[in-house]
Amino acid sequence: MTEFAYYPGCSLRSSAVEYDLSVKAVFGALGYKLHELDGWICCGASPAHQVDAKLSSNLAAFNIMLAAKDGLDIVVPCAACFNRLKTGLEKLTKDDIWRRQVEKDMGFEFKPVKVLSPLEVIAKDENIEKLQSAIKKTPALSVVPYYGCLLVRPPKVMQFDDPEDPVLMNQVLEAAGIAVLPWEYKTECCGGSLSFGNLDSTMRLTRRILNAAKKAGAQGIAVACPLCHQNMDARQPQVNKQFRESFNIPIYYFTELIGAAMGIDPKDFGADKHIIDALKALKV
Amino acid sequence: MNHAIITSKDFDSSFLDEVESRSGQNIRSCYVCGKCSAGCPQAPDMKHLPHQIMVMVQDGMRSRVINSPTMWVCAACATCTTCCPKEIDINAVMDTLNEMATSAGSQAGIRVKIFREEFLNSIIKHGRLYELGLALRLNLRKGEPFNDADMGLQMFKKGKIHFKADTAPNKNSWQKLFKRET
Repeated sequence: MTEFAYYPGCSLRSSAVEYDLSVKAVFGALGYKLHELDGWICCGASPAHQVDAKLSSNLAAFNIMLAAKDGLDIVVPCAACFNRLKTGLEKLTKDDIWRRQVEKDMGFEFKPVKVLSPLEVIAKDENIEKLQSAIKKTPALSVVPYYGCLLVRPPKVMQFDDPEDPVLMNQVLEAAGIAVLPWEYKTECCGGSLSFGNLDSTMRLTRRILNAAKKAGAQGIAVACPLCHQNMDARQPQVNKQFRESFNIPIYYFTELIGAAMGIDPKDFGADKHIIDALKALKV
Repeated sequence: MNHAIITSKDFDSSFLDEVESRSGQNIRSCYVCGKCSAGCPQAPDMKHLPHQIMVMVQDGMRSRVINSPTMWVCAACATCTTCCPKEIDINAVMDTLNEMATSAGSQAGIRVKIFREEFLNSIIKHGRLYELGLALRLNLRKGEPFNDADMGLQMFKKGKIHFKADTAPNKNSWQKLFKRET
């Protein structure tokens, strides 16, 4: 398939614009067309599923049905949206009674489509090969790959890579020539859903990750989620202040690193919009 | 854990069935190995650890569980679900307990309650999250006008804050999703 429906989700419009731009740039370079899902609505993220399971399922179903109408698989960059839509897809597939109700409400039949993370699309064998031959200038920085929670858990629903030691991000970054360092914090929670209600928890969790990256000798952290990015980038000054640390670690969406390696000007995908300077380390 | 005196009033035999039915999980099969709590990133900030919540649900301690702050501190990271040897989706149990605590008017997590309410208010109105609106309303309701002002200013300087709310088209098609079932 060379065309996908594209579900940006709420944060890719503003606070995570770099992810939006870099995914589009990399997919374009790999020869894919992304069609933004017309009329998409919020997936509900954590607040919806934590207070109203039915609402959460209905929000996911609405979006999936929009893509199903056009028969296109959906690419979902935000890990939270990806998790919600994939959970909704599983329910649509297994809960016949509910699916019939959804079909009745939407006015058309559900035809199965896939919900995909840009990571798994880029990690496909043919794309790894394309990446390797498309490298123009690899940034000479070493990173640790941070997968976070929602891409890989719960494993029964997400069926995405290994839930405790995933490797897809390692593979795509290495294919782009980026040095990837080992560490034990690949899937340790950053406190994404907690930052507006339990900020202290988020500070503690985020600091642990930044510290682990520093100990691993990394010059940057690669991420695949807007909330993880915000916690580690936009809140890095807050972490420094609260814990009297002096972290200065740029946080990159993995697609920003790949895009830079492909020769795309980092400013074209908003790498100048990070809070912690991300341009310096990208100099080749 | 609170060493309060426990009386027969603390037990409600219908509680376990209700939580199992709503979460779709076989809570009876939990044998309290503690792996969930061992892996939980929020354990340091929890009054009742996940495995303790599971035991209390098994024992029918409705009031204690519903009023526990644990659900409001849960990161929804599903680490518990991933490591449970009985394959209980403990995250799903937490979601159910969050629903029940919210409906019961629990005061154990006010800041989180306000966040969830305002998030949902934003998407009910726009179909999409209006980030700036959310941040401002949260500060207003919590009486903390300058909360995260440092971060907000940085993001504003980088053009990452949109002043205009982005409303999803075809409001008629999605507004009904938010109708409460009575």
